[in-house]
Amino acid sequence: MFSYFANPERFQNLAKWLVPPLGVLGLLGIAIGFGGGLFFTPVDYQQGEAVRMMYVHVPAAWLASFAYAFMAMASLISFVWRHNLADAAAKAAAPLGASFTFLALLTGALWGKPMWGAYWVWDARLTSMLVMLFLYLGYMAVRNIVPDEARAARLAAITAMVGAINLPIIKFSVDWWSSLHQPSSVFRAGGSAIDSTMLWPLLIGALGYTAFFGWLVLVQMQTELDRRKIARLQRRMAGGRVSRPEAAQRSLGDD
Amino acid sequence: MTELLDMGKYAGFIWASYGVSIVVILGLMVRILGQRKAAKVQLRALEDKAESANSQ
Amino acid sequence: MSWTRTFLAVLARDTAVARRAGGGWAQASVFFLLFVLLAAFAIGPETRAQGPIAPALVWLAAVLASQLSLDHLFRADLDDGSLDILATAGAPLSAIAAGKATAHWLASFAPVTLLSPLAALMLGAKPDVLIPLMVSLAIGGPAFVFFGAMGAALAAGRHGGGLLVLLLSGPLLAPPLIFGAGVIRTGALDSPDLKLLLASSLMALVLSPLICAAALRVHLE
Repeated sequence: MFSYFANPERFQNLAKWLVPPLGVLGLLGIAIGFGGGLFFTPVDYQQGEAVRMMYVHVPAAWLASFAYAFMAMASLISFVWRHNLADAAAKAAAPLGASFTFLALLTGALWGKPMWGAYWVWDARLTSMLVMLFLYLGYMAVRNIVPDEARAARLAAITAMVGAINLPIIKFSVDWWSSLHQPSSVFRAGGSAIDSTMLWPLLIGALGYTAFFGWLVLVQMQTELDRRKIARLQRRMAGGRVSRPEAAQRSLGDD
Repeated sequence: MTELLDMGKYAGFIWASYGVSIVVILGLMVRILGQRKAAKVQLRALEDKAESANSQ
Repeated sequence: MSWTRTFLAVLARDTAVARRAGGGWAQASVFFLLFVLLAAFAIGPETRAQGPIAPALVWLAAVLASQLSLDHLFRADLDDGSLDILATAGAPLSAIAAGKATAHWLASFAPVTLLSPLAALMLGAKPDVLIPLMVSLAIGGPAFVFFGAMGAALAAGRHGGGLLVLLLSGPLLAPPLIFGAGVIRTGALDSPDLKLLLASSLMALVLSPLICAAALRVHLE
């Protein structure tokens, strides 16, 4: 299946079909989730109106983790099978994932202030989210600092995979660490049972965020393919004429 | 409507968290779609140039 | 060349280079002691106030000292082509990486571990934490050096810098630091933290040479 979509032509055709509905689904889902969270959900008996911040915080936190898993998978495929498009997908996922990690942290802080009395507490979830932000930043730093595109792609793929191996360990260690410190009375967001009147905007919002992510990843992959075409054309026009079969070969991969 | 918009004593936090989320979401969208458009335009210009060079 | 022979040859060479250069052995220790001195200034002269956090500060100083100059671990050999020669001669890259990391551990973390009781006492730590402190540093050392080596290998290119190494290995250092500081906090050698610390070190010892080899291969391509 991976090799099937390694062909940029096939990918372009698929992306052309997928991009518009994903965009609509994403924006609509986010709008409904936000509107529902703001106006059409009941007030929590414990948190009051502050519970409305759950509807922007939880989908961001979900997407932050999902985007990392996506990036790590794409990196694995790109590293093992030298799959250019998978690399483009991982590259596209990183800034989105980092942005949503940042959003999760920021909305978490804003939610924490009225609930915990502090913008920042060293809560296990917040802390592992912060570590994940650094993992994203490391990945993006590799891509930015290493000038040779092919080399940067492979080093970044290793970075993403190492991070993915370590994420569960980091999560575990941070849980371990915070269970030593934390007073057990700290309020736990949501708890185990969320009423269905509060659940639907959460689910639609998370779905919207995910579709939005998929949409922008695909768009960035299209941009990446266009950029490669541009580079190829520029190289060809700069002088060295490339024979047809060689050009066809190139468009299939390895450059 | 004013009743709906009244978020009680947490209003500042709630509007700030929704506001910053919307800003980031729109910012990502504008940036990424802008890059896509710029690449498209550049590619088309190059292809036109290449074609006219070939036909000569 | 076999794995073990490569490992020992690289270890011997890097250790000799570090000793000949002079600074190699001293740098981490001096950084470590300076950190302790500056920490004391930052906290204030009251030793009783420093007491409870003294072992944690020592741990932090040791970790930072081990990351010092780590970004040079592979760069010199990569730049002067000696890594290329070793690789084309068939030496396993993972053995080279393991040898270099072990040499770095000997030059940085080992002396710091030996100095740690002194530093802890200076910061007003209770004498009964000294043994757990030294044991935990000895057991956790490989985790920091070998995870750090992973970042160093990924950032070894001409354009990688200290920033890249920090960003890449920083998050990986969180778990062993948590477990290491946990040993100190419980003050017991039979605490689960010590086992988890040992597990972190073992994982780093196995994983790091493989990851380093993959990254170095990319640089050599």
